[in-house]
Amino acid sequence: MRNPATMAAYEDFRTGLTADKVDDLRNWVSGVLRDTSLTPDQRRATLAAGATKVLPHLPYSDAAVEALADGTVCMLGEAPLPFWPRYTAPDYARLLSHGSDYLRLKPAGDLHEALASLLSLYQYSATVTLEPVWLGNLDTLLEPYFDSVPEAEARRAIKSFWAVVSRLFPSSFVHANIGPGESRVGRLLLELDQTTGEPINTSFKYDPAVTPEAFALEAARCAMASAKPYFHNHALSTQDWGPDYAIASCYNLMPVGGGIHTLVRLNLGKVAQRASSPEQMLNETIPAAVAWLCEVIAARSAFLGGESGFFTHSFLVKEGFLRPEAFTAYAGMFGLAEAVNTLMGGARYGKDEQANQFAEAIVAKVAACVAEIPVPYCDATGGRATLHAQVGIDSDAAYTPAARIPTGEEPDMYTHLAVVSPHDRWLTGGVSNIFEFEETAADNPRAVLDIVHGAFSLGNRNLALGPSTGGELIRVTGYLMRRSDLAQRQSGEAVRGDGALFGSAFFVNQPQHLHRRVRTV
Amino acid sequence: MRALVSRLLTHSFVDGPGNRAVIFVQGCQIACLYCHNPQTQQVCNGCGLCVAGCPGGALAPGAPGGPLAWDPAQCLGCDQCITVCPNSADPRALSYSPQDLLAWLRPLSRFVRGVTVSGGEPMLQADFLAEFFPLVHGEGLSTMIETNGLVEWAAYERILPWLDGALVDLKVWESDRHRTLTGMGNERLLENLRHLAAAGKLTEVRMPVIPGYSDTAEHVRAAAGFLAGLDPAIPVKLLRFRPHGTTGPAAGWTAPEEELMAELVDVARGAGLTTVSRSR
Ligand code: SF4
Ligand code: SF4
Repeated sequence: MRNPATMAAYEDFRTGLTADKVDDLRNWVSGVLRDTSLTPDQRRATLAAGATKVLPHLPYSDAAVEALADGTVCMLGEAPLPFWPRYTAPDYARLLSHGSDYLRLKPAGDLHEALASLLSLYQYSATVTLEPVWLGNLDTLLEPYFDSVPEAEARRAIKSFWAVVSRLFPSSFVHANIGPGESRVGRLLLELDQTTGEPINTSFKYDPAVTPEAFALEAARCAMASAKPYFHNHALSTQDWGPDYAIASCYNLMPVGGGIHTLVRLNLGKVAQRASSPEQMLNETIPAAVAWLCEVIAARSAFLGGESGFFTHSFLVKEGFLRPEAFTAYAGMFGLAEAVNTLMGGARYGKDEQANQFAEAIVAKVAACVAEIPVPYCDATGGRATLHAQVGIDSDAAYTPAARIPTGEEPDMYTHLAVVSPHDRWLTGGVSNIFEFEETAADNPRAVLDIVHGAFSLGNRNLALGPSTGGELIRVTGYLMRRSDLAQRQSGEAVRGDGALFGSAFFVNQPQHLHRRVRTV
Repeated sequence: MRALVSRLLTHSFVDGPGNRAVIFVQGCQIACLYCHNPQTQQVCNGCGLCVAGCPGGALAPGAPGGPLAWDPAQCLGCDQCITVCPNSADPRALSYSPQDLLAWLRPLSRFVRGVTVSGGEPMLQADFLAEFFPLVHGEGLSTMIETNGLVEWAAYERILPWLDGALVDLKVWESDRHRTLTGMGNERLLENLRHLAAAGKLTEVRMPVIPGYSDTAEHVRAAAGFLAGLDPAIPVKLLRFRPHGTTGPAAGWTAPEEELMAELVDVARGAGLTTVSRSR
């Protein structure tokens, strides 16, 4: 059995590759290695991922396989048998203070050594994209080294580092964190992002009670110039994860020194199609669907945590950069809007109070069900998976990313924030909503902060803020990419950034999820 | 007291510091040649000229001699009424009590840092503001006005204890030309600017750059020099005139060039002002 929408012809959950499908595999390989819209590296990565898919998947129950086959549950193209984690957030502070035997790196003595050590370890991050998904809290990591060389040299070195990171790891899933405190390195990164616009995701951990206003204003200016950084509710995520947390990949939360085994997601829109009323959805359909979801997550986490040998053999674990007890797994969800609109008989998510309440009940119920099902090797979150609002992939077409209100149906900004923000307390694994402003906002960054404060007071966890007219960087659902890469990809040429691959497919398959309402101010 | 209001805006990034709720009051004592919202100048006198053309049937006679009655439920927002009105009025302006506006403001308060009363000319409704602003402070929000500065100082004095700042226009430096452009000389404006600066309530001075009136280096140098004499740190913003949306003679004027705007910013700085910006 297979999911025809997301799996190649030779794949099968139960049997893996069978003799009668060998020609399908050959054709697929032959097509990929000739695909001029992919760079050679991208072809190799695609072929490697394809090779793992000749295997049968883990022995899930019939009901779970059925849900996987019709897309109610989706494992986002992960290998049938996970052999390294989906996301990791290595403890870079430990690298800089202890060095690494495996990489033959001494403790960093100055800024240049610190940057070289970071770039080295990034290459070994062991994630689903084969690239680092988290670059560290770069300000707290590098600030202690800032005075180790003359200031002009420090600035030049960090500028080159930023450019190199962007070129080595163009995947759109590479994420740096700064804040909540002010620092020269943090300021420099915001400055660089306003001018050079490297497509590296950045999150600004913001706590109005801790962050100096001048620094927050700089972050707001940067967001209006280059669609980043994210404004992340530091107080809320500290409550959920403790002070030492990482925001990686799109906007994904995990402990520093930890990671995420696997991300399996629930299409809430399809879950709703299995129910005949809101009550049935809450009382029967969601518990059943979450049971399939968590069954898949648990089996995959168990394989990775045990049989794969990752935690017993990786130097990242042996040398303490990753700690098994800081790992967990994501129960993803998307298509909340379609779930609500399917069962509310005309009332629309984002528009009608009754529909908005149902949306919140759905998220709360999914979270409660996830919290009941034990998942092995998830010590970071009490032996349970953690809920994550997933940004969607190009093939989702009819389903809205994450817990968002569909493009074109957004209410006014205050209502919008009041509708979506209360969900975020359940979405401990990460969530974002996008708000784009007219260019006047760039002249009044205080006003941007006012909106952020209002959103945080409603429980919002994470805001993607940007200019409506756009600079060189553009955010498509969760992916940050360069406009020129996108254009190049759309003309059929290969581009370095995987983000542009996802992004251009989005433009083809679901343009309805792109044109967000411009906030007139 | 009640205020006559032409428009309520739940958020604005261009009417003072931070995100602000804005109340536009109806009625102004001057009539600038380049006014972008002439329909806010006068109060409807109920002449009835606009009633027949209203496609929604939203307009009906009100009390004799008073404004029309307007039914928002029937209104299509077509703007026919303000287009035909010979009186620069808007029949859709509504009257609010301070408590009404407070009830409107309260749910916005987590998102805005204050309210700005604009117009029209808010100082023509100073008695209302003297009642309303203390209530706004009670909500922990700040109060600002956008004023032409041409109302007698006594009115400003009345609201001063509850006023956090004023955004004031300085349109033309020479009083005669100011009169040609607006209908009034600018002596009172300069006097009020002096008072507001002394009271520490001058949040921003806007200097529109208008062809033939205020688009020369001499003009900007003189005006900026005056302001720098009050306080060099007063934030001053040069606003680029745009013909779009104006009626009458100003519709034929051309917007100043980018280069001129940039040059005038330098002139203002050269005259001693430290905080000069310009509109896009
Ligand atoms: S805008 Fe004026 S003319 Fe048009 S429907 Fe409304 S009241 Fe009538
Ligand atoms: S809005 Fe103008 S035209 Fe209409 S009744 Fe009032 S004054 Fe007369």
